[in-house]
Amino acid sequence: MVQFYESDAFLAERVSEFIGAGIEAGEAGIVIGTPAHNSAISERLGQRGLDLAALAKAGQYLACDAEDTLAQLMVNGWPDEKRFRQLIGSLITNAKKGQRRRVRAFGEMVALLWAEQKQEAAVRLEELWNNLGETQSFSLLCAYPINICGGEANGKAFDAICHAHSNVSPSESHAAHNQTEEERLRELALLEQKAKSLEIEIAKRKNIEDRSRLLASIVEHSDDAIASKDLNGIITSWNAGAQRIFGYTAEEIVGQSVTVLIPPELQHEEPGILARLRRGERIDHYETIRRRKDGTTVEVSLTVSPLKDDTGKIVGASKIARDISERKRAQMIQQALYDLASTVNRTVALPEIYDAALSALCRCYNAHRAAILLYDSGGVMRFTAWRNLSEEYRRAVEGHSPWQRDDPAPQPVCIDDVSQSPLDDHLRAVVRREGIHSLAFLPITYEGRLLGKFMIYYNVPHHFTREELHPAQTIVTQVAFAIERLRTGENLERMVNERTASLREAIAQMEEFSYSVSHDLRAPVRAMQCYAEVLREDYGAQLDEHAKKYLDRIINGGMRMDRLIQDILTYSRLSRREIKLAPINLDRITREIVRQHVEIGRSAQAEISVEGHLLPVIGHEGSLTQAISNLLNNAVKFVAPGTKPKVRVWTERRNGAVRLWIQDNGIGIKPEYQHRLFSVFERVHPEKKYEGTGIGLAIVRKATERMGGKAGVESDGVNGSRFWIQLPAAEKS
Amino acid sequence: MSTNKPVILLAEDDENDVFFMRRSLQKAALDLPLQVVTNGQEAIDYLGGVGKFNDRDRYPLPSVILLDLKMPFLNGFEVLAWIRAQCSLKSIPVIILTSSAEERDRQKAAQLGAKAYFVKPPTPEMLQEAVALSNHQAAPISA
Repeated sequence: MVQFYESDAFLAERVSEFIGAGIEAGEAGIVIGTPAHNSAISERLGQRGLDLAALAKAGQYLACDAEDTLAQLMVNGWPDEKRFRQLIGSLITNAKKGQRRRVRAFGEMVALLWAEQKQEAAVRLEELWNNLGETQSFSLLCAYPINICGGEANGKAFDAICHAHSNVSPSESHAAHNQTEEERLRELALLEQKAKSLEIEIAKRKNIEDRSRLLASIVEHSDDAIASKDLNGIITSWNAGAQRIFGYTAEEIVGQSVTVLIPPELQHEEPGILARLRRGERIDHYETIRRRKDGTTVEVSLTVSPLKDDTGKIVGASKIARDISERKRAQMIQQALYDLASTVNRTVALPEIYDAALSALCRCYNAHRAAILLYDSGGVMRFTAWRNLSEEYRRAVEGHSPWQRDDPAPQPVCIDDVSQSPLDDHLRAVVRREGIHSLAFLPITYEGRLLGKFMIYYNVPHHFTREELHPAQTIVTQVAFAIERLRTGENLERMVNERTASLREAIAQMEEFSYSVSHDLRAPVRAMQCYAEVLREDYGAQLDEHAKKYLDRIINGGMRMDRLIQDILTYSRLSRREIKLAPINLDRITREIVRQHVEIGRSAQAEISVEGHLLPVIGHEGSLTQAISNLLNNAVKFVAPGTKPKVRVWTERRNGAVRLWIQDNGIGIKPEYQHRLFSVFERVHPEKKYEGTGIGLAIVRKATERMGGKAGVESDGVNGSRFWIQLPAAEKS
Repeated sequence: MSTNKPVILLAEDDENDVFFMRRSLQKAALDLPLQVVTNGQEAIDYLGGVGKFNDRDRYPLPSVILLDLKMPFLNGFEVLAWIRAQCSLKSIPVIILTSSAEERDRQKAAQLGAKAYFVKPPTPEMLQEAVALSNHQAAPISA
């Protein structure tokens, strides 16, 4: 039996188990080992509870130094048969004394020879052991450190050793009959030896095979191309990944130069790569372009490492090529989509967006042509933007759509090969004449409405995949969104323009109406008034007092009517007239208004005092004059009979604004009526007592509001009223 | 018809207003001959001596023109502009007599060269002012 071992501890364990079990079964044990092994074995046997000294005395246990023993056997560097038989034979015979029929031996002498590179001598020594086994029954455990058995050179001798152990094994037929106990035991020992050695060898080879199979499988199943080449650039191996990426089978390519894989314009790369390899350099992740068998190109990332032989000499290179086309394409698509998105965000010009979308399409799909068609106002899908499409083609296919306009969920339509498509003959002919071989229709939808379509065309048949169309869907979404956004904006703008125009027209019409009112409506009123006056003047003598009073009423009615018309016009003009605000010298205009009031006699009986210098305001002179005039009118008008109107006018500053106060000693307005004061046609005093149109204060409020101010009143309803107008101050306080 | 007295030409389509004008003249004790035309076109025909207005004895050139603004065919402003374009008529003072108290009408009238702007109804004071304006003119027409 041969025991190969790697660790001394393991060997010691194994041998002491082998010898110890024998001694415990009443057998004898012989150990011929190195001093280190011998002492390790005896220590372990002691640990098993065996008294080695007693056993040695009884001749049941014997330990010899392998080197010393070997020295006694060797004659001229060769194991001598005679000495072997004398020495080892007598050892075994002695061990068998005392009813001990079986002997277990452990020997390391063969291993020592082996370690000294004397393989043939080792094999010879084995033979001698075997020969001894033919005449004496014993179990031998040989030990070889496994490391000394490796390598091609030792292989043959190693085989011979294994052979030597199995060779002595008696045949099955021989074992079947006429076996003495001695022979049966010897046979068992030999079979045991043979089984053990085979088991170890099988395990070792299996391990090696597994590892190489694993490596081969890794190489073969790699997605990457893995190939090797010699220093002349001739391909020496080629895996399935390489076939997948480049299209060549191993049979086709092995033996050819790697330059067949390099596009003409990049042929200069190879000498550089080879030069670097010769210097022992490694090339990592070098991104370049290679050519497939079909002539198309593929973007690859190359890693090239030098291959060395046993002596360390560089003999070639291993080459790993990773197909990075997808990654590059993904990067490009991402960039194209990004560019489109930034155009969509930046511009409000649809043609610019269409152009960016077509660029993105052509970049993402490497398409030869592309187009955008949108429904026009007549519901016909028309070419809106396009790349590389003839006018003839556009004219011929315009209006064609694979979807109904009301299709709630139109799906992309792809024609991989026009010649095998269900297009009608006319359309197919037009498409082919243009040189188009494959095309895709992508619906442009927004919130379930079909707006138009995107077209992608190739000059060659092209298999469109669902995944491939994803970037196009993104482009479609971007464009649909932009179209809707800008159309909505345009609609809004148009609507605003239309409304502004109609509003202007309405204002112009109002203006005309006002003009007519002031001119035509007042004419008959004036005629009534004038005729009434003529009647009174010319025929007064013939009329009694009643008739004269009626005439007065006609005249007064006419006057009121005239004033009413004037006031309504003023009010409506204030509402719509564009006014320009400017600093106003409030002091000057107020004093002027007061002067005129007094002059025309309206306030002849009144006492109006403007107190201090009135602060300037921001306003519109015409509107402000109107408002102040109306307030002064009211102030002197609404006084109790017999009371002399007294009016005070002053200004005060209020948080960046100026408030003009006009206080009277009139009849006042009860607080509960004050909120109605400033509305059109509201009167809080009976017409009979205080004539007026009921529009005066509405004009005041409207005028101040148009100037960005406000108006109000304070009164307890007894002690007069304090009306005010507040406007932005013209001067900072 | 005497040509010594200044003739007033009134362009007015409302007969009531013509009546009030005549009455105002009476009240102002201005016994002046009043020629009346009832629309803008007729005013131009009168001034240009077209058709029956060719008879200057019957239809003498006025020494003052009172123009209503709102009239059929041609309005007062159009007549005023036409008058201003005629060299022979330039010296005749034109007064607007209208029911419009509109500021924009006042401004436009002044721009076109009206000498005065009266809001109806006419008063004796207005008419005296009109006569005063006509007297300022040299009277080539009376020659």
